[in-house]
Amino acid sequence: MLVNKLIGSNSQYLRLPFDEFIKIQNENKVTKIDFVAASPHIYIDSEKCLRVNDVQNSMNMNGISVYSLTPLPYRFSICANGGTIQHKKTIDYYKQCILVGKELGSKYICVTGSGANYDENPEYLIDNAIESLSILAEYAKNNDITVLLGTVFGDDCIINASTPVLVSAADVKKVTECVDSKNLKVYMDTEVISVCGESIREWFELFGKDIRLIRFTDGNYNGYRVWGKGCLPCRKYVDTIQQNGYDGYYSMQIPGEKYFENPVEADKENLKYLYEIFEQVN
Amino acid sequence: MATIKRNQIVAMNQHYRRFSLDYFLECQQKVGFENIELWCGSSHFWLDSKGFEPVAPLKKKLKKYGLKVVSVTTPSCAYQYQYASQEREILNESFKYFSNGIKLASELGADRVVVNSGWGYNNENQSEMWKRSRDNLFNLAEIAKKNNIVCVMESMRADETNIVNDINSAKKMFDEVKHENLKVMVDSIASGAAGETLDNWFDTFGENLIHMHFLDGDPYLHNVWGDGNTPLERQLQIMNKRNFNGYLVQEVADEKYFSNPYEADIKNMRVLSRFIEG
Repeated sequence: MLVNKLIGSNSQYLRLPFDEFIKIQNENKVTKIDFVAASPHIYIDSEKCLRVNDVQNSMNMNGISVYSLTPLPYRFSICANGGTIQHKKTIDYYKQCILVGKELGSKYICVTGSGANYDENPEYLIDNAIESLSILAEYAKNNDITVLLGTVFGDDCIINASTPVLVSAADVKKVTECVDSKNLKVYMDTEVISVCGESIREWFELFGKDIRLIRFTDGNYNGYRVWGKGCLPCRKYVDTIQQNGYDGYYSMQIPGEKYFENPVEADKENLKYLYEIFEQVN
Repeated sequence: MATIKRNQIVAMNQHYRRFSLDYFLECQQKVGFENIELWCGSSHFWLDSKGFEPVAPLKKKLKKYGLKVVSVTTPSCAYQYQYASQEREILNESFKYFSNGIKLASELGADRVVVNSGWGYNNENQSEMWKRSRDNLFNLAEIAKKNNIVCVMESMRADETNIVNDINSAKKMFDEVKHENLKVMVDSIASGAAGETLDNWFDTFGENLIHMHFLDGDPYLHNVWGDGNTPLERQLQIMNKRNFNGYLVQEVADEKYFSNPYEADIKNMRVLSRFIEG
């Protein structure tokens, strides 16, 4: 059943307690989550993490587990120049995130190239990302976890752009090939790739089985939307993904604050739409 | 005639978050700013709950570009920290973080930091979140006192916080914290969104109103002057009438400016300079 491949996310629940989010996932019969490791649900900085046990206990009591962990990039950037405090803090932060992911039983930790400076040489930024990800992939290997690199909005989505590099499949390909680690794979974000004019088919041609997670949301040039509220063809996308032999999970994470006021309603609306489509595919 | 003094207009680096600190400083010098409110975010200046990076290199750069830090904003909400963190352990980290912001301001020779109430969970008991915010602000004002710094509290829009989001809640918080090192500021976007006027704020806070984030709201967006719906001359007339000589910080925070912040600054200064004295 394809619907069993849907995983929830607390990304839109950051204005509610974590326990409340878990309760709703239970009601929605969602058993795996793409956990956004962010305050106030959990705290991670470059030296420590807080509330890991609270999160774990809440999930255990409700039969829910973490499939993938998405740390918020905050002010950290894998593209930061080596030797800077930002670079050092970034490496230490993501190492903490890997440890948290391991403790929570997550298979994957998702990272992006956000936070790079637009007035710096893009080639240097890519080199910095390769250096950072080489360190993190090695650390992930030692902790039985895999880092997934995905793209984020570039200049095609002006209000949400967060980096001049790693906004295309080509950049991700270059970086993953250079790092060349079994513990560095990729995730694909349907909204991000669509906004910059890339297709699902292109991503599968480039990465094939290395696509380990799909962030499956609707959206438009102004950002993410629940399915049915944006400009993306849900059924066509599901068909393409299936035709390419993908058997991984579909994350319902919706980054941004758009649904903070009523995440429960947003989740229900999203699920209703997806159930309808997924059942047609079945 | 409505006027502003040049050194009242203060630049801020928030909309340069996609660029380096050096680029920001260079642009401010070119635009003609003298003072800045330092936003300690992105790659510009590192500050967290553990401490902050050495200030000497920053001071050297400020000197090179002829700029002075008059105020510090320690980013809240966007990162791990906020003034009313709901979970006790995170509140402790937040307190250390904002305390470091106060100490940084002192080291840079600024006399104020911007603070806000923080926010509680959507489904949280109002008095619980209020108490947490109030106690934390009082404790931070104590740190500020030890460092000869004044905390200036802004309100935020109702979609940003469920604690201090209008003039009435700001007055209640100000009265309850009741600390000589907590003063008040107007954020013209938050006050505009709440349907309040500058006169309302002057009437309510008098000389305790010492600082402003002064933008051209529509009223919701942090626009540069000339991009919103606010009658600038009228605002300045009110300030002149009230003898307000505080800083007018250009917190250009709308995302549409993030790709070309320098152009936004030039357009902004073009409008403001029409009212500069002399």
